[in-house]
Amino acid sequence: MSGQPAPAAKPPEKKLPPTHDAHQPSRRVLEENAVDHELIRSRLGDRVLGIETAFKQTVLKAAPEHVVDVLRCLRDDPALKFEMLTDITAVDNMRREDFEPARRFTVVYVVYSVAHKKRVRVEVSVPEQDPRVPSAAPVFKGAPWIEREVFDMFGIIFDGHPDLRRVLLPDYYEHFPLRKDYPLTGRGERDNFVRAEELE
Amino acid sequence: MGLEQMIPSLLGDGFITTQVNKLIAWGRRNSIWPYPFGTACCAIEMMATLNSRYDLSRFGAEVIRFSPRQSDLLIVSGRVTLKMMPVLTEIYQQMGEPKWVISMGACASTGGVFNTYPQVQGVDQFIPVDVYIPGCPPRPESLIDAVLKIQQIIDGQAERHEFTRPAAAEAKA
Repeated sequence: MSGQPAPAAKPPEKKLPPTHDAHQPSRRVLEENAVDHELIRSRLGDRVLGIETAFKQTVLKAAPEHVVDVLRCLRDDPALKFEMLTDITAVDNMRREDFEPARRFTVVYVVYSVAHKKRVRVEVSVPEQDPRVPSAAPVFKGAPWIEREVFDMFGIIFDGHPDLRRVLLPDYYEHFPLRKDYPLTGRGERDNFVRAEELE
Repeated sequence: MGLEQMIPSLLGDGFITTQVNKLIAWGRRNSIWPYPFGTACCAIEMMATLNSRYDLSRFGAEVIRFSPRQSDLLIVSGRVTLKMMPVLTEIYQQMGEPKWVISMGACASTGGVFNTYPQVQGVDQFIPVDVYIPGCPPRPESLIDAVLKIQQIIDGQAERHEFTRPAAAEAKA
């Protein structure tokens, strides 16, 4: 057996599955994100306060009094056809550095166009005192349920809502727990029951 | 005195003697009818305990009843929220004496990881619990062990001539 070991055979080149080959953003995501700002501006006019695409998501800003009009136009315009209401939610801006009481909450509507495979969000700023937004119930039949949840968690009142009650929390609940000034562990509601033996 | 020795000569084999308490306890412990208060993943393990692989009927506790009036063991398995706690209390009250309670899993016993506003931090704050099962979720063997512990409790209550829950008696007094 003479001296040197044979050089190790070169390991076969690993073949990655095609999805790992290179970073290729899928076509569907691109389609969804490529929303034509000019088209939306031409259809909505000055009812939309601003359009921006950030983090691959398009956001329209609207004033509370115009939001139902904006949603109706987004739904009905044949070039837009955002006819599916994905979600309505809200954001509490209380802990942000640039917080102003006049823009305490942001109500966010997410609408999707099944025909064009595009998605936009519509954002509305709501003040801390008397947080009110018109209800989207006349435009989307599914909106009242989602708006009830937003009311339940943030206390935002939807004007014209057919049945604005709490939906997840019990009816006697006094607070709006997703507001940032509500402590995570609550204000003692979870401890306020009578022991079963005391009821007997 | 001497009765036990006389029985075989008088009546033949096949007789045993015991106390009424112990006879009642023997009947109770081997025919526990659980009420499943399943609100989360612990309930899945409870179902597994009842199926043929783990077979809770070996211990006489397989007759799940969905009416609290027909059951004597309340198995609280899963999270209990502040909206659900009055329901649980009412179900507990509707069960006839004697009754026992198993708090199954971390959430029912302590609130588990859910240290949040809607989550009751342990059902034992509001209903009396006999046996706690640790785990998230506990394995079926743990639930079987808890049922066996309940059987021991039933035997112990018979030995001490307790026919109602001590806590309930105190509350009434």
